[in-house]
Amino acid sequence: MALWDLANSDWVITMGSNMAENHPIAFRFLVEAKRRGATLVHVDPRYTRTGANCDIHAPIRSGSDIAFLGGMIHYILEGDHWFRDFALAYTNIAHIIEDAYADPEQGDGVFSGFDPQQGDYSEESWQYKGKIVPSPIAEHRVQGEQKGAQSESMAEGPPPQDPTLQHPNCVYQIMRRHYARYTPEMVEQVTGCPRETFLSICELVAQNSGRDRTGAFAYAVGWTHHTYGVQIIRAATIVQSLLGNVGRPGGGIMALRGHTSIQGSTDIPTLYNMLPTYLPQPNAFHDHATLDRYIASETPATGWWHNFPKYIVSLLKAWYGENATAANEWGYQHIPKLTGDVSQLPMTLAMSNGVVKGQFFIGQNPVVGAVNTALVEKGLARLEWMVVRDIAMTETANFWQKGNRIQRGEARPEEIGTEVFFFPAALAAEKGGTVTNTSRLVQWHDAVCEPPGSSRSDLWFIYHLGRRLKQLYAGSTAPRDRAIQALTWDYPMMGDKQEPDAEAVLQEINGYTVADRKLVPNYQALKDDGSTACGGWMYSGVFPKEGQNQARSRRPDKPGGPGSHLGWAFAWPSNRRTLYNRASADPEGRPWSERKKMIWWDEGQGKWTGLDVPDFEPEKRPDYRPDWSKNPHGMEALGGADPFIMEPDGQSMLFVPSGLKDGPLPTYYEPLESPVRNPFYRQQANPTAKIWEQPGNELHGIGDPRFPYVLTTFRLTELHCGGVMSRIAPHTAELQPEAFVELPPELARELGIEHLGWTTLSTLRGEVEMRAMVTERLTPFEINGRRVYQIGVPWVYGWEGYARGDVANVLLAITGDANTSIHTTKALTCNLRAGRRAGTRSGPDAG
Amino acid sequence: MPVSARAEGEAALAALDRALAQKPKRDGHAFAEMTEHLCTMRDLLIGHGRERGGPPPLLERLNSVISTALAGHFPLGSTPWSEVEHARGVLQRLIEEAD
Repeated sequence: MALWDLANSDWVITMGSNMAENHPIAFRFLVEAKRRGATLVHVDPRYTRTGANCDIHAPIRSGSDIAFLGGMIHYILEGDHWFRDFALAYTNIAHIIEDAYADPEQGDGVFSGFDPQQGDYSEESWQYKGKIVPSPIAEHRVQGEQKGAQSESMAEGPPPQDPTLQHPNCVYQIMRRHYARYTPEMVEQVTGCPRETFLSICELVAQNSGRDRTGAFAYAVGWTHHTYGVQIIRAATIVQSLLGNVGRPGGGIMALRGHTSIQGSTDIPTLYNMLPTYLPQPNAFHDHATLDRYIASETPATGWWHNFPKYIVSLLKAWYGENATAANEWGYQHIPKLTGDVSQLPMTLAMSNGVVKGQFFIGQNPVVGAVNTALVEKGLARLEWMVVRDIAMTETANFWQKGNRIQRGEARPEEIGTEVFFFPAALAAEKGGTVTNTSRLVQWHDAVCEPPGSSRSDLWFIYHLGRRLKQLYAGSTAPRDRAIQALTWDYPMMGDKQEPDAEAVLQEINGYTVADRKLVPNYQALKDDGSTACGGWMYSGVFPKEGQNQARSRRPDKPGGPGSHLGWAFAWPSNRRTLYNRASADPEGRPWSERKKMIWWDEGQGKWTGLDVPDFEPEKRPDYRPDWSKNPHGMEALGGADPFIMEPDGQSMLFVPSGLKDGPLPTYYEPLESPVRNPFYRQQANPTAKIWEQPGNELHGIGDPRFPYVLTTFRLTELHCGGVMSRIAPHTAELQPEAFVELPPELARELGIEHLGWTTLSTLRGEVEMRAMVTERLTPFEINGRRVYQIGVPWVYGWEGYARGDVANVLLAITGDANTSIHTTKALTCNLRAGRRAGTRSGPDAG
Repeated sequence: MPVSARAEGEAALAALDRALAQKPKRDGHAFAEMTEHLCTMRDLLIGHGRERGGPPPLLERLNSVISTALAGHFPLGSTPWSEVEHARGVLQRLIEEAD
């Protein structure tokens, strides 16, 4: 959904985000929703400015979100509050699952298919009965499985269903059993949220969802930074799909993305396991040895992803140009094949083992922002070289001189052999290009002035580095160097500084026909025969013809207009603002209500029309049904009332048969570090969580009395992102001058801590000191019969700039979500005491 | 191959054999030790190659062993034990050929 569509919501639950402080520009749409009569809710351990602007603040213990959301699912199912016409038609609620499926309720916390020896799942028992469902998300594919070719069963007929919902293994019945124990009492026991508050929120969403009313969730990294972050979002998906709040005005789940083009960095990825716009990175252990086999194994039989061959061939053609031919598999063999998890966290650990020789840090300051930063520094000290590009000196660039290990006396600068190259970088306003953030909105910005001195844009650096590498390897005969030699690297340059033309890069991402270099209007024009090139299929249409950079467009709708603001920048795909908006109409193609209309079927014109760009084949009639006798593939296998076109049967997945490494339904686990036992199951934590045992990365046991407090980390409005860019600015630094820990008065009294007094926080990973901010914004929780204190620290401080303090992430361990490998920053345990830590001071009065 | 590189290879092989014998669900220790030795071996080979003025022999095969070792240490899903066992054979032959 578009950010501004939040103003159309009848309720908004902000959860896993302090939106008013960390996305303040976006928060104005919630303020507008409230002005129009919406009810706002903030579910969060702390009472912040977000909570202060909401009608209801529901305090919960960090990391207990699935208990809360599972309780909502229980309330909706058992109270029969779900939007029946929507969910029966558009979700897999009636689908029948394999007989072998067994729920965590039977397995004491694990689903069927779990291999305790390996610590992972097999998905066979989660499938639709008699079918094999391909994963639509490549990054979640389980090692060794190739389901593309096996998914032919999806083209042979629809999955078995029971519209009466009586079959014991239909999704409805499975969910009712799965969430039976997520009662309001249990929610209170696990989360600490008073049951009356919880029930008031359930009543709110149930009474304000349906044909005429919709609502939304808004979240940020408070949901993702857990070992079960994906499943928290999945739980919200189930709530919204049951209530009919998907693909409709004011309905949805708003992923509040990071300011620094975080959405863009997954679209055109800096991630290790995806090619641009979510194409799977080839894997050495999958059936990917040749392009044909890769395509055969990765192309689902049904749904929109059946177009995958067009996208991968066009991508290869964009990268390798005339060096990509049918005879050489369009250059496919130049792409590295994955063997293991080479995401940031494991590679940080591998750095300590000497695997990595050099690293670039561009727009990143991991000595402050990564977890277990002392271990990060240990890895950096093993590098032969590192390159840091930033606008000011960062803690990463001078870790060898001022780092935590130096402060603790664990290392001396003269012992660290890492050669550091520090390059001055251009500020955002000094370079042209796009950012892609919340709502998949691609927005162009021009350079307004030249960067000073030898500062250069990141694009300049990468482009000229590439040019020099190509020059360096031009004469090589080694096969390993052919990828560099084959790469098309010919963007036009401008001015004395030879700045690459960022619009030329965007045009390549948009795509063009090879013969005449004419820009393609959209991704429907892409081919798999080498006649088109495209750097990222989902972005096609951002530059549909010469001179029309849609990301540059700034034409908002006028008052009284459609309100989708299609003239404001570009939202991928197809400049569509609301994904799956076919669901805004009923199965017959009529808006669910006049108040909540978005797109609809126009019988006279024989096409879909409305206030947004339809997310559907434009002329597919609502009454179209696949002819299964013809073994239909691709979109022919999806009916005219199947809105979720990226899924293999066009239905929203309440229950996920493929694509998740930790289970088909969200189920409650405690965080890896918790003061209490899991009240639901004997299985304490996510059994598939990524844990890397290594000296210096130890975890606390359940209820370890040495570390009794629940700790969460957070950001501050005044200090942006990793902090450096605003810590060096006096006018922002003075607003948040030094690091602090926020704690409730009850705990302060118990520990003898005074407001603004010094405290020391410790974990098995490290120790930091901070001033105390004693505040009633935090209150003690009663969890499972015992009092549990929650505290919080901002993680944005370091030793550089005017606003300084200990690096909070020293306290954290390196662990990963099973699906995304994302680290845990939001729920762990620690100790807290009054007084300063031993060793060198790094606070603002350190001198 | 320098003698010291061979010693690193043998130490890596010993650590790999421990990992293969135990096939643990989550083990950083044997794999980490193996990786450490393999990388030292790699650095010694590179240094040796630079001294001789040519590309170090055996380096590409050693790099493939390191890639597979990382797959064991940091698997995507199940640990690919059969591939790790295959890498053991490659490493053993590599050490033998160096003689």
